[in-house]
Amino acid sequence: MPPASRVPALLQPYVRLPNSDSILLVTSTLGASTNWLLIRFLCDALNPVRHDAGQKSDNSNNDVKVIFASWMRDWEFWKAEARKGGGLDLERLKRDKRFAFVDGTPGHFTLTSPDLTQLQETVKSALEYLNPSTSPTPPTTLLILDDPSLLLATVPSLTPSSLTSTILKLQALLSPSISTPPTSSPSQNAHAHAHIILSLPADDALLAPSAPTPQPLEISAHNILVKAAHMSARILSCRVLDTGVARDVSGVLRVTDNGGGRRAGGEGLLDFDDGGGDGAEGRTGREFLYKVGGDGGVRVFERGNGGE
Amino acid sequence: MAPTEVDHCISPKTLDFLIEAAGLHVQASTDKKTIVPEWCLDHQQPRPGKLLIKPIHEPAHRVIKLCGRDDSSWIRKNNRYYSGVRKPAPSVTSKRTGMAKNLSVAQYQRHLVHLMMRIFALRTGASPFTLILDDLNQGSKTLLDELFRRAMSRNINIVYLTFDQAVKPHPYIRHIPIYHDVTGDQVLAEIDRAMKDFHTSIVIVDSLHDLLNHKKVEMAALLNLVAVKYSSMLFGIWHQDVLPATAEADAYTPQTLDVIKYMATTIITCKSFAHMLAIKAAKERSLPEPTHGLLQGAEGIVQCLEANDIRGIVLEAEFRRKSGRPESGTYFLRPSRQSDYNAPLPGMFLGTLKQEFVTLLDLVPSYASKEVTDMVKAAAEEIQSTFDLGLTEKQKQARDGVVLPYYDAQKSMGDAGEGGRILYDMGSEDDFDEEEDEI
Repeated sequence: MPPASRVPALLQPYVRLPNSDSILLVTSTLGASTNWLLIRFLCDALNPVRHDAGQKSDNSNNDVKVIFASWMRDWEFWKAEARKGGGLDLERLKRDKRFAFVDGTPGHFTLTSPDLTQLQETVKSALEYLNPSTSPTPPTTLLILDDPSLLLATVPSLTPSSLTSTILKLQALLSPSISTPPTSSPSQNAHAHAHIILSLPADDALLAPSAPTPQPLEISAHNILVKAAHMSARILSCRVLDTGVARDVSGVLRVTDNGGGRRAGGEGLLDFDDGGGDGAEGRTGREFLYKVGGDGGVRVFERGNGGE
Repeated sequence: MAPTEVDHCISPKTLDFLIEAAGLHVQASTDKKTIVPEWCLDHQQPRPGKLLIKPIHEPAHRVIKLCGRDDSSWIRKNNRYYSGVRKPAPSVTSKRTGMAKNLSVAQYQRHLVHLMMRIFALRTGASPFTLILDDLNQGSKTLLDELFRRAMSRNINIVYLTFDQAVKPHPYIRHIPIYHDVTGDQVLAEIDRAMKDFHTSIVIVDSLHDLLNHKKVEMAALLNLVAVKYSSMLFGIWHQDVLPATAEADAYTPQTLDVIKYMATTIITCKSFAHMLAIKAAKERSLPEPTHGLLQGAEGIVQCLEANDIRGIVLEAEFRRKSGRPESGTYFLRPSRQSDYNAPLPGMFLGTLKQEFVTLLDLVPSYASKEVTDMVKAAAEEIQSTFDLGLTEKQKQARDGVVLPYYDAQKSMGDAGEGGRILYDMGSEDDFDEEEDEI
């Protein structure tokens, strides 16, 4: 089964990376993990079929390079998960210089301390590995950060602001259009973008401040999520079914659009969306149910359409 | 002009009584008018100028002025500033003196819209420091984009300090990313540098929380720089759902948000249009206001489905006037269209605004009209259930496909006319008694 068909049709538009520099937020709860969703993002980004048969030819000569940084799970886990769920051979992609893994365990690009400057340096060296300076065109890069909020718990002096600042610095590092003005060489940079996917937990236990004196960690965990949500163009949150456990449903996926996609590329501000605001409903969010199978396959369906 | 009721509220009888009580000897033959004291005369003369309630003369057709393509009152001409002494902006004083007059509803609405128009037209002195409060349910992006466009349309310099966005919105905008390792003093120096070569600028800070708490910039220093030195407008965005950090050292100092709310001359709170409709429907049914998003309390929900309504943004504004009079209104800002702006003059990115489209929420047809309210109410009255009681297309097809029992009996009724025939095959255990079942 090719990786393309591992992404359910309903999910397809939401795991596709936007056409401009963006930050996407993926949130999980204890009962509903987002590993399967991150794998689907990988499938869409690393899938070569996409570039040949895509709706536009914008990415035809630009590979998407992926840097995956995980604080919660190690390389072996993601390798197995990607093979099982997405049919991706991360080992081979790593050799092909399309994928890099930043990890706490030795072997690849390694983080030995929770220091943020070290994170920046490591991502930079991973980027240099994926994209040597000899290459003529800068590629589209995707940086996945799996649960960086763990850093807040390990380093008490770290504030949510410094973490979000680091994320923006990383985006500036990856994006050719932020570091150099787009007017200088528009033809070269037009289709290369930098995307960051942030995966954060959204459990009540971590977010809701306990009365009467909330702990600093609770406030930090709440603030990092809220700030990240304000920064991101699209929010995908997984949660368990509100009504309890069901045999044929793993959880609910809510996708909301923050309208951040318009804001990029220089001319976005003056691209008027005439008549777009006349929609009867006016809502931007959608909800789906999903079921992760034992074999790693995922079925995504609308409410009331499942049960096969 | 006929004397009004007010003038006749003291009847002649009462007047006589008053005069007697005052101990004045009135002779019947004498004309009352000649001897009554002066204060009494006032009551006898009809005075047209002293009506308490004035009739309101509304012009039948208000002339709506459309802004020209090169309207000099809109575009800030020669905004570039090169050298010389920077004069303070002329203070605008109101020509009207005395107490405020009673206004009709239409006049009052126009007055409120005008207050907001001054903010959106970025008039110097309209509001030196505008605080914009937003949250995840309704971000301030629509509002911010509109402010950018207005400033570009008016040829006003834009300085945009940002913590949240690495991407520069437009080449025209002077973008100062402050997520880099810069100190508060460096940030202020950077703002100074960005404003130096223009007469009029606006400074937008996204968000104030980081600037004040993270970079430790003094709000007074920032306001002094922007509003006093350059007499420009400062817009500060504050995300309401970011919790204040508690530090034991400053347990007695007020929260930063309280301080800047105190300093702001205008406070604008962003609300989602869909939520305002829901709140209105709840109010009409005397129900508590619904909560959304993070407040909803459901685990794992970060943003509600109706967040950032694409139809427009609702702004709850509080104006603190120079006179000390507070005024507030609820406004609706729809996303702007190409047709709202004239063609740009050479050298500009955006033409002048033809006509202001910020309006009061009560004047928005889709909010005020009865049909919409009824629709929202009906939606609220639906049975609250976790099950979806409606049918999807697939379920409808499945239901249509079900063959009911005895269906062929119904079908054959039209053909053979043997309606009412009971389709039942006798089994061996059935005992059919001819006599009993005789018809």
